[in-house]
Amino acid sequence: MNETTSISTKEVDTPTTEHHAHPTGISRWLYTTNHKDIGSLYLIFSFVMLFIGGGMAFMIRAELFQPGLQFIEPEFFNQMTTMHGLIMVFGVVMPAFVGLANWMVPLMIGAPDMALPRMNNWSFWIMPFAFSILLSTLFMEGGGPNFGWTFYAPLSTTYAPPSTTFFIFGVHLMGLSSIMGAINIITTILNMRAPGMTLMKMPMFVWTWLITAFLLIAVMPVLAGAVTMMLMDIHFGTSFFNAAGGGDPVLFQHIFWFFGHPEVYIMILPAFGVVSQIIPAFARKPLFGYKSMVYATASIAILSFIVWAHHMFTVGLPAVAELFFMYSTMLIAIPTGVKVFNWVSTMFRGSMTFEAPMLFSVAFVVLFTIGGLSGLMLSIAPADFQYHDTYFVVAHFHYVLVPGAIFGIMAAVYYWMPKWSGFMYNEPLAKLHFWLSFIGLNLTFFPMHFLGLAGMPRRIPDYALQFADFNMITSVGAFLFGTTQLLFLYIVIQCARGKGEPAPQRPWEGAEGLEWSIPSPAPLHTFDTPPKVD
Amino acid sequence: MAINNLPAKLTIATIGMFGFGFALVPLYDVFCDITGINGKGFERAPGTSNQSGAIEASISETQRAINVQFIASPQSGFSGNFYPASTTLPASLNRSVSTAYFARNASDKMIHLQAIPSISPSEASSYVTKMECFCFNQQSLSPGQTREMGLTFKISEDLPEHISTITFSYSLYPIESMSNEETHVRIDSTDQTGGLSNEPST
Repeated sequence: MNETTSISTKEVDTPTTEHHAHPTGISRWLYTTNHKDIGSLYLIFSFVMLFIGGGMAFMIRAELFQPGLQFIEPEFFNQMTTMHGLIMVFGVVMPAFVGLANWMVPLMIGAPDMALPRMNNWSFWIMPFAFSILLSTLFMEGGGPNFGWTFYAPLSTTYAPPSTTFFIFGVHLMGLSSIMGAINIITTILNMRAPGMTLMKMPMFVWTWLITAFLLIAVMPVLAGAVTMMLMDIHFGTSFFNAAGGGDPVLFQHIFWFFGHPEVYIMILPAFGVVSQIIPAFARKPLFGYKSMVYATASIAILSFIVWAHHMFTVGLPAVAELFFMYSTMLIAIPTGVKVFNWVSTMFRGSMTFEAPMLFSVAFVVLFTIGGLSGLMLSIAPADFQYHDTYFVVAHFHYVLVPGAIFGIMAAVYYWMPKWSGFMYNEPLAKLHFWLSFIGLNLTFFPMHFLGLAGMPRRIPDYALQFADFNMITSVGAFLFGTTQLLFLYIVIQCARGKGEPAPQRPWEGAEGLEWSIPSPAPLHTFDTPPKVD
Repeated sequence: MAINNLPAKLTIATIGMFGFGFALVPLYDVFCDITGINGKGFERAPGTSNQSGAIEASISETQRAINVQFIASPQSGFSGNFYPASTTLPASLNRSVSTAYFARNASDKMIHLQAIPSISPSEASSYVTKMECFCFNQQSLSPGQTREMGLTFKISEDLPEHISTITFSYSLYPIESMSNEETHVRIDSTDQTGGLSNEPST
């Protein structure tokens, strides 16, 4: 938080729930336009999808526990890798961050609700339908999507299973949901801030979400365009990606990654925001370099539009293009390095305590940096010819997404859960959850670096014998990491059901921000009268 | 402080970006055309802006010989043979060279074929002018028929010094399920008068 954002506690409003109709039962959730209810719905949805996507990862790792084919057919294995990726990206990380934004952005900027509450309801309730459609493809004739989460054409058009049409419709729906969510968040942040809260006084989490929402608006429609072109290629005889008709399969990769690279920042920027809230709170120091944090986030977002072809170094780009995308990719390390430096400087000589949110945030800084550095290795075009499509890539993006995005979400849940439920979570169990997750994920993903460097390709159900040992370690780690999340579920349910100490208004000594000026649990309606920020 | 009609503006931005996704298709082709990096080689070579590619062979008697290689890649779904008349040919700069590819239909049905060209190194593609190419048109083969399909091209004398070998690659796709009108192959199949206005695979 910016040190100039001090809160005048006199303005704290009292709960005003009695003024409003208070529907109960299922209709409360179906018709809700309340940002807190919708935030909870998003988070619950994301949690459910985490276990579905995690179950798929379980199957993948069980099959890869030993060389040879044990449990599932290669065709089904391909569907599992594809669906695992799609669900984790679109069904877990993105909805979880939208849920956090719904809950926290109005509270952090002193707004009574989101700007467009009914659209908010709509953008959530599209999601269960989108994912029901996507998951139902697994039971269709010919199976579900089996072409990887990147769905490269013509594998996803000419050679795809018939269910691909449903997959396309599902992607359209989730894209629609994300875009509506993004419009809502931008409008809320730009139009509904409390008097006195200038843009440069906004909490970092709000800043990162503002930038993320702009990224969403810029690239989700491009993804919608890509799947629409696929639809037309499959059903209407066009040849966007069909070489026989004069189209170009490489064009698909350009369009996909024009969406795909900003997408990876969509998944990580809100996590940057979360740890930028938590580290100052537990280091009991204001965030070091608030302004540089804002500028670094914006720089990362802008750079994300000119680096997409580093995913395509091996398609036969001319040398000039390889060099351009290589250097522009490396450039991203600078603003990212600024952020890591600022987090470390915030902790430096802070009076730190290590409650669960802080543990997850510190692990985020360390492990995300490892993922960032393997990303730098991959950005070197000549080296990428060796790493491309190997487990090294798998290790890289899991290191930025699991201890990056997922740890960011878990840190946020522990940090704000007392505000949501009104009760403290079980701290010893949360610490156990952290340590088991930390060990499990490193056991899972670190050996993947070695597998990749040794040449194991990604997306294969079987492998050569020399990869056996590391794969076994990886699978054991995956089982540990996956099962540990049941503990997380238990902790969250206990806290939500009120098993725990009642949480004070501001449960964290060093936490700052408007969200701590309201009672715990946060009443259904807050900031009906805008607070004053000096 | 409030920005008027922000949701409307953002919706317009969304629709604009959806359109941009589709605009990437022609933009990509234009970009490849300008830079010559997609190896299609239909553009006129720079420096030969005169009409009709009128053979100005007499202007320069370049002795530099280029080794031209020919590759044939029949794609899945095509039952038959597809091969070049010769796998390598020497070519002088600024002189037209004619050769051929052969396709044989081994099935018992009429088939329609479309060849998609590529030139390697892609840097050379902007110096190659194809006067005649079977890839300009769809090829129809009756059952058992073997067809000789002509290819005439010229390599500009401006070809950079360091290129001594050029590879012409053709991928042959069966497009039997589509009728001529529905193929959407963006190829001007009537123009064969020098191949200058041909812009297949825009």
